[in-house]
Amino acid sequence: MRSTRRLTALTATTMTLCLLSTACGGGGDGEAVQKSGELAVDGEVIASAELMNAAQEEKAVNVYTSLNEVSNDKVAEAFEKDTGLTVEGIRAPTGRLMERIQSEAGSGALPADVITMPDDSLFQILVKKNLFTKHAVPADKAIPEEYKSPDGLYYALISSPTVIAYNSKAIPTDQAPKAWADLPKAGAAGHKIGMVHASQGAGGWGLALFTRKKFGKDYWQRLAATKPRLESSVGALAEKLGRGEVAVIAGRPPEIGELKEQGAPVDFVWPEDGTPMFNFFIGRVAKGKHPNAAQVYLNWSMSKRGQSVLATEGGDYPVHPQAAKPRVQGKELPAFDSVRPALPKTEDWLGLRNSWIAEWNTVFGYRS
Amino acid sequence: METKVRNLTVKFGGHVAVNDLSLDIADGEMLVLLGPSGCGKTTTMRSIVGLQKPAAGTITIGDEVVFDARRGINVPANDRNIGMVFQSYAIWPHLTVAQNVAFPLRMQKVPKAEIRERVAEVLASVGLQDFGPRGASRLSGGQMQRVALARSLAMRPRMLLLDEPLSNLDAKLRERLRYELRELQQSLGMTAIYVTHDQSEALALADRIAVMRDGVIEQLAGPVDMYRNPRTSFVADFLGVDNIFAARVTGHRGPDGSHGSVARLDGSAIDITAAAVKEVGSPAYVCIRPEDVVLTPSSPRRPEDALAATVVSASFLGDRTRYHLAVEDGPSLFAVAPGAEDPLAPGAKVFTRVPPNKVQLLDD
Amino acid sequence: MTDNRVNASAPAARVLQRLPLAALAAILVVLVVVPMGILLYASFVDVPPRPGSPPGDFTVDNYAALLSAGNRAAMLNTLVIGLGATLFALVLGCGLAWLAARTDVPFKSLVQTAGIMPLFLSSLVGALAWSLLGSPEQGYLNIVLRDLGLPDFVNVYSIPGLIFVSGVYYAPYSFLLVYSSLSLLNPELEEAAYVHGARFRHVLGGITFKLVTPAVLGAATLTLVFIMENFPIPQVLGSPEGIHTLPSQIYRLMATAPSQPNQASAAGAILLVITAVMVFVQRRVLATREFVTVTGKGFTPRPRELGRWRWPAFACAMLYVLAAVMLPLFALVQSAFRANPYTTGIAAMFRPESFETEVMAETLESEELQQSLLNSIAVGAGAAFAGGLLYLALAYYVHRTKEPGRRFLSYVAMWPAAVPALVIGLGFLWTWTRFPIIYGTLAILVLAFVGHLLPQGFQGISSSLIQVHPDLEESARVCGAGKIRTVWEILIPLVRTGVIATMLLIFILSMRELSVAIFLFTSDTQVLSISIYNAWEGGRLPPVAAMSLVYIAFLFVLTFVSRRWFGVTNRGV
Ligand SMILES: Nc1ncnc2c1ncn2[C@@H]1O[C@H](COP(=O)(O)OP(=O)(O)OP(=O)(O)O)[C@@H](O)[C@H]1O
Ligand SMILES: [Mg+2]
Repeated sequence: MRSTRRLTALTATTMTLCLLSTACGGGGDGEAVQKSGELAVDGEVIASAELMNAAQEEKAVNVYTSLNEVSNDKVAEAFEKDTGLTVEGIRAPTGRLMERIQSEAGSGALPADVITMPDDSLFQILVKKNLFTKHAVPADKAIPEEYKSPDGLYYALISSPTVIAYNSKAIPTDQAPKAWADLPKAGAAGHKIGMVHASQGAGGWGLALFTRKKFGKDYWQRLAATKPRLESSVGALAEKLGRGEVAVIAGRPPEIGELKEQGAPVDFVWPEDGTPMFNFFIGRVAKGKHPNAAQVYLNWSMSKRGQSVLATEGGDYPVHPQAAKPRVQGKELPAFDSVRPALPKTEDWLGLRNSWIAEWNTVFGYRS
Repeated sequence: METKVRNLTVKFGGHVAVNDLSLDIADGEMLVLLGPSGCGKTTTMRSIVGLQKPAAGTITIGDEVVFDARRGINVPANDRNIGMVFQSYAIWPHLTVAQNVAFPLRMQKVPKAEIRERVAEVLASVGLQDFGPRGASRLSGGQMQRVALARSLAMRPRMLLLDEPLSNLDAKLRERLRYELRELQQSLGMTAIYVTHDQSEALALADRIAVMRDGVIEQLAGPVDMYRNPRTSFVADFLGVDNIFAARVTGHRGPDGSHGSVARLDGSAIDITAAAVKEVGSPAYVCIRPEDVVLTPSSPRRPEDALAATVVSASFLGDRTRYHLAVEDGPSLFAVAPGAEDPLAPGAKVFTRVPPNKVQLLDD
Repeated sequence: MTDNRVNASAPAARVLQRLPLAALAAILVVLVVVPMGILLYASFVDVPPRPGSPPGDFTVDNYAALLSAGNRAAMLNTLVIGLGATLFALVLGCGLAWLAARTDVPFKSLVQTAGIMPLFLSSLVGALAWSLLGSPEQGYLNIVLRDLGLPDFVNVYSIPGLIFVSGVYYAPYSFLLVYSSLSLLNPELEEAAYVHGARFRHVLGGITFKLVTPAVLGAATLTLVFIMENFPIPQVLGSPEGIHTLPSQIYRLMATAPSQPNQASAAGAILLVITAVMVFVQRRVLATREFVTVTGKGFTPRPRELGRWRWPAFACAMLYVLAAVMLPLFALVQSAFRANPYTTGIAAMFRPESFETEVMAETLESEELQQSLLNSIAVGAGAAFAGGLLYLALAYYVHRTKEPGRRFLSYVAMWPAAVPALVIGLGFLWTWTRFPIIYGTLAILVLAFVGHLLPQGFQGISSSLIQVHPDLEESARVCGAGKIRTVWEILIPLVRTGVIATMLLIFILSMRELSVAIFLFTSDTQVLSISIYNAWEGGRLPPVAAMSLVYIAFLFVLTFVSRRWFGVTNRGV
């Protein structure tokens, strides 16, 4: 009958589409795999022939990450091109990612081989669950001690700065705040301030901690009085800055750079009273299904090559001293030391977190 | 095929729809189940065909026991080979007429060529020879009824059950199809049970009639016998006796009291004489057919038998006239006068008389 | 011929008889009862019910925490927005339904299409588009108003804004339900009222809508439940100004670090109780009344003449299309095809040199979009087929057999209507990580969707099953067909259209679903709604807009093509 044939046609189309989708996957040979079989870029050996061989057997590496989408895509792309391995996994905001990891690890079914996340306090929860295994990358010697965990279980991957960005159509450039101390004033003058919740990942907490330490609780209260727009991600915040919905935000250079390139009247300043920094961490999951590919991924990420990709494509500060300088839309960012970096003390970051976030929530009337 | 139903009981939750019913149907017989709505006719049929599982009893078709509650035998409907024409016809609208009729044959795994032959044959026998390729959803009521019948006949069933098959049709078509059906059944020698509300249909079709009431058979008899001698006023009512009055026997007629009884209608001073002899003092129902009421315009010869009445209304039916009368100091009475003369006008005074041998004294 | 089947009494036979019930019950337990149970359990203990966690101690602290000021506000917002938006959606839906079904409004089929058009925009896409249109200061509408020298008062980041957007996107549900019952309503009932001296407004309120009360009430409950558990709209439009509802609160409790699953569960349980009460009340209200006047009997509908109100009525319908579809499309096109996110004025919106197709091209070519579109199609098709089978089996068991447990099954089938979608997702996350064969694949999404959409699917298929007279099946049995044969040859062909319509609906609803999937996807199984949401969270609006446009186009084509193909209309819901 006619309609039966139509149904068959629909089914067939759907099935063809499904088949096509599976056929599109799969990686080719890695461009950085040498004739000898080892993985090396510009003379820097990233993985031995043996390891590389074993990794290629495994074909893929599963990465759970909360790196922003743009950086993450570039990193995955470069890694796949270099190694011929495929990057799978989940990219989600830190909070959601944490819930997934904890639930999956609890049933012994965590598919991740590598986890990349900011926020010491969360990373420590995973460390305490014995999720990670020791691994020394070939670049270990070159990386400063402050970026390595004492027990060798993980590394800091990058340092991400939080800067003051503004929309010059919403606030004249000469009135735009140059320092964190100026924010409440700008807000009080009727310019909408935007920021990320303190409870939302590392950026929010890092800024809250920084301002509270530096200016006291009174600063929070003055800022809260201007009714700032609170977002759950810095990306969403930047987008609102681009459209001029908010005038000033605490943001990240790469997103501002991209908006600027698109023609939006935005810019950012390195705050005079310090640039809060927070680190992303990377660790290898002990029970991952692709142990060798995981090692390659970790080695690559911490190598000069991987760090340079993170810096130039992602706009974050690399931890490898010889890696390329971070770039935003082709323009090099100033040297790390010149932007008055403010790295929080680990004991503050972990110890004050719960009580101060609760306080922040009350002050800003958020999830009380 | 000969069918025996023994002690059939069907329950819906706590409600007993069929109560200890026993029934024999002879081979080639047409049995009509007659009864008011909700008395359990459909339920009885569905039990025989296997769509309803009874609580107790046995059903035997030919020499096969198809249901026996005690022995746990319950042959599923699809293995009983009993045809059934549903009240709604249940013609499958997504199939053509021929496909509808061929369905049971396909189920019997009859070879394709033979199916075609038999479908054509049976469609011809119900007068639908040209309808085979038609979609079944665009048929008239009468055509659907024939398709349903053809479908049941095509399977060459051991027995045919018909559940009010004509009730959805107009009066004229109903009458015509009734005779076609009867002729077909008789020529095929098909054993059949026919359910109806309609007494004239029952009388016209039946070899025997079973009148049902509240899940039991009240009377089982041939149509003539049943018409003449209803056992109860309930049966009488169902067979078109319009005048039924509650009464009490007050005395007897004749020298030795064997010439009949006199009954006084409840709530009035009217005495009616009946040919039957009943114990004095016992309650009874006086049942009189309207066509047995004799109307005389002037005072009759034996006035003690006659009742004065006034015409309330008259309906002229062509070959007869039906009157609604009010008996003086008594109940309403229905009478039918044959002939095509001018009917009496409302308000006219008449005398009515009922021959005692036409008066029946029945139990409830 | 005395060979007879002996059944009953034998224990093996009895077990066999109960098999279908056991199978259906098991499926419902897995899809419905377990996620709900986990949620309730989690709300009463102090440790998240993740696999491998200790059982935890009993506590009511999670509920106590809900009494804090912020949570009380969220509950109040949920109710206010739910009731307000439901009312608005009912007015829109019933109004359009009445115009399309009972009047001589011009371009009737256009008005009818208007009633269902917003279904192509998921509430996520609708909310995103309206955040572009109606955000304070720089929303497109405000820019236009300012340019025209008018006050720029539009602000969708507000309770009225949330009510407006929710109402607009949930109106199609009332439309569908009320339209089908209005078009089955015998006009003689209305005419009888006119004959007896009633005026138009008496008839409309006192007869027409009274008679379709069951449909209106049904639509009202359904809409209320859907709106109260909607997550994307309050998340996109409410959270920037700190307006939270229970679902956005649940999400926040789950997605911020450290997450608080137990409190989230308690919030979910509250939402569950509220919606369960709604569903219960609706059933009670309907159960006390009998409405037999709405029949499928043949008649020629005589439309109400609107006279001079014809064109204004038509304009109102088009205004709805403008708000629900055209303006959002405009906003998405602006965002997808104009490089500069900053808009200075009307002129800037239409300056030809600022238009570029790069983002759109990139989006169309991106592997992510193709992959997630394919995933969405696969999940939608999977849910439609698996769901179609399950719902059909369930509806058959409930309506066509005399087996025990029918009423109970039909009741359980309605439960998911009371469970917030986010919570179903969490329940699945906590239960299914133990089964890696399914968890982390598209199958887990299919399962979760099949469970979540159970009420809609079950009702849709039930309604077409009920329309088939049981005699049609029984006569097949009498003709010698076995039970399975009867279902295959008679029942399935007869309910085909209804089943396909329901499956299409499930397909479309699955394609749009975000909340259920948000805790269940992986990079391989990311569906389109997740891609859009993630990109939005990352602030990359142009690709969000571009993907949304692809999404809308796909749903649009799907619905219209399939309508032509199968000659079916969306029904039920
Ligand atoms: N499926 C059922 N569930 C409960 N009760 C039923 C069911 N089917 C029939 N009954 C009840 O059993 C009794 C007999 O019903 P049945 O259908 O046999 O009557 P009937 O004689 O065929 O009536 P009608 O002339 O109206 O068709 C009625 O009281 C009816 O209400
Ligand atoms: Mg009946």
